Amino acid sequence: MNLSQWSWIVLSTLIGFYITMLIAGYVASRRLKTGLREFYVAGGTLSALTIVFHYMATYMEAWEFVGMPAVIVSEGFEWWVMEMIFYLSFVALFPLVSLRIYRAAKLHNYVTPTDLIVHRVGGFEKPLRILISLMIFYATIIYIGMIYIPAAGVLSASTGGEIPYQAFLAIYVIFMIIYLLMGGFRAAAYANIISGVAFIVAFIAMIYATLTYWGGFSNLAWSAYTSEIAPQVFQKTQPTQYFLTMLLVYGLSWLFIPHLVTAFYASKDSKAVLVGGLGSNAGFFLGAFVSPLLLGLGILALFGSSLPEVEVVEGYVPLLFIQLFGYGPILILIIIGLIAITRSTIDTMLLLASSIVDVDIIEKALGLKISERSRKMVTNLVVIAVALISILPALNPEAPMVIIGYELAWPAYAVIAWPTMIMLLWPRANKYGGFACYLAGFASLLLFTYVIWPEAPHNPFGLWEGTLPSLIAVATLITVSLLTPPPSKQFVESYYRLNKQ
Amino acid sequence: MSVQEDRNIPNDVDVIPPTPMKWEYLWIVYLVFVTGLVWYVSENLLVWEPSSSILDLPKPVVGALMIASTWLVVNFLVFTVYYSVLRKRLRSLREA
Repeated sequence: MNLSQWSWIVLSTLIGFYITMLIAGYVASRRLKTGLREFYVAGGTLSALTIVFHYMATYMEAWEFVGMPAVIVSEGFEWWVMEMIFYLSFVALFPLVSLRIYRAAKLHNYVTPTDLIVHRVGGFEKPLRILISLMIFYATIIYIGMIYIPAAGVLSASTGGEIPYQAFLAIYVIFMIIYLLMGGFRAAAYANIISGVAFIVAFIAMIYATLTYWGGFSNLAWSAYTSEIAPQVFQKTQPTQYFLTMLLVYGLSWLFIPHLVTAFYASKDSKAVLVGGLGSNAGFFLGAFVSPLLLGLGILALFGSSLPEVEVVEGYVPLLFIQLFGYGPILILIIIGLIAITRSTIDTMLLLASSIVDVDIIEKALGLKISERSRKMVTNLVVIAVALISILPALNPEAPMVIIGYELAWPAYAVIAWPTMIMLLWPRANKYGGFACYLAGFASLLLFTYVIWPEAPHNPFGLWEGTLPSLIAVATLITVSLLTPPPSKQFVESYYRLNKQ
Repeated sequence: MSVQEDRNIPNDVDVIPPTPMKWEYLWIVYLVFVTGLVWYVSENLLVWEPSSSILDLPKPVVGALMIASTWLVVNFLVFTVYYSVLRKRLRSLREA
């Protein structure tokens, strides 16, 4: 294979990153104390500052850094505005829900998100653990697949397409499996630091480019707004009800997203939850608002008359940096940052998958008494299977990662989140309503998405894709709970610790 | 719950009520307000009108800025409110 020197540099950067992470993973594993709570939720001892960075690293990902700027150009500015709309409800109701999750976790020592759900439902433990695990796995596979797209797409675009997208996808996944087999995903915190540094450098580089290349933000905005493709980009194509359901259904559903819920379990105290929320939400203003806006407008301003050829639209971002700064250290740092960003999110997702297999399925649902070594092997095999199956959504992506997220991944999380949040705040919800709501929500989601309305938005009313299944789940919870006997007084008092109120 | 288990629970758990406090229902009013804001932005500002501007910026950029600045302000506001309420409740609990 005749590759240019630059393509070899990009390839070596990927390999070098993984080797560094493996070493870091080995060091991290030596420092870890034993025990499930220690391994999965840090023993519930993380302080406010650690929680700020933990929240940010978990929330911030290629979605904001690569996905959003790309979707502004390829699908329209409105899709990024929808992400801003999401924060309106998410930020405002963050303390209301997160403090209750923290409270329940401290009272009952939860390790996995399923622990909270199953305990609150108060019955049907084994089938419910399996059902919730299936729901989380379904969403996780789409989520990881969605993150493979920018990972491989950015690397391929950085080589000018010399190494194709599919080849980078294969290389990326092979390295990841080696990394997982060697226990490397314990190095998530180190990957987070690298991605954080690269993110700051990229952010400063974009501010610098805005000031020097375009002469200020206003000039950049007008260059983008008057580019040739601007009339298509800056138009509203989705109905108003889609925007409103993004605000009210999608935004609020993120208050109980399984891989983030464990961050509340890990908080030392309620102050850590609140300060963590304040700091990370303020950080999102830079990461989710300023950064994608500058990058998206930059791509439009530079390439707005003729968009470059890319295999996946996420490749526009490295091309922007190549155009602004040329092939050099800034680009390398940004590539490392992008690998680290995708890596840290996948680590978090796989750690969740690992905890679900290990704790929810092997230990609590199936009650298997197997040796620690066999248990670890089964967990690793399932996690690797998840990593491999996740390739499917990324093989020939028909849409940018952001659209896949809105359409397929986030609706699956919403049907878990909505009934769970209501049960947390509504003591009258009982085990019959609790079990039925997840079953009805997940079944309706699959039916609407793949059978009844296979075209997005998977409903005839122009609502966000997760709206109808979430409403069905909530309606089932309320109706079935009210039609069947309430949970016992003893259960409610012990679960909510009412005697101390 | 045993006494030993009770001892392991942080104090601040008991200052967080299990169900929403009365004033937390004000979020419904807030959600009505932001529904109006989203409706306004999506209907009036997500347009391609290079001849008009607000604050010398294109209308869609101003719309996004309005939304983002709202949640940034709300972020600091909710932190202040919850932090003060929990601190006050913790003080009362200790005094009791």
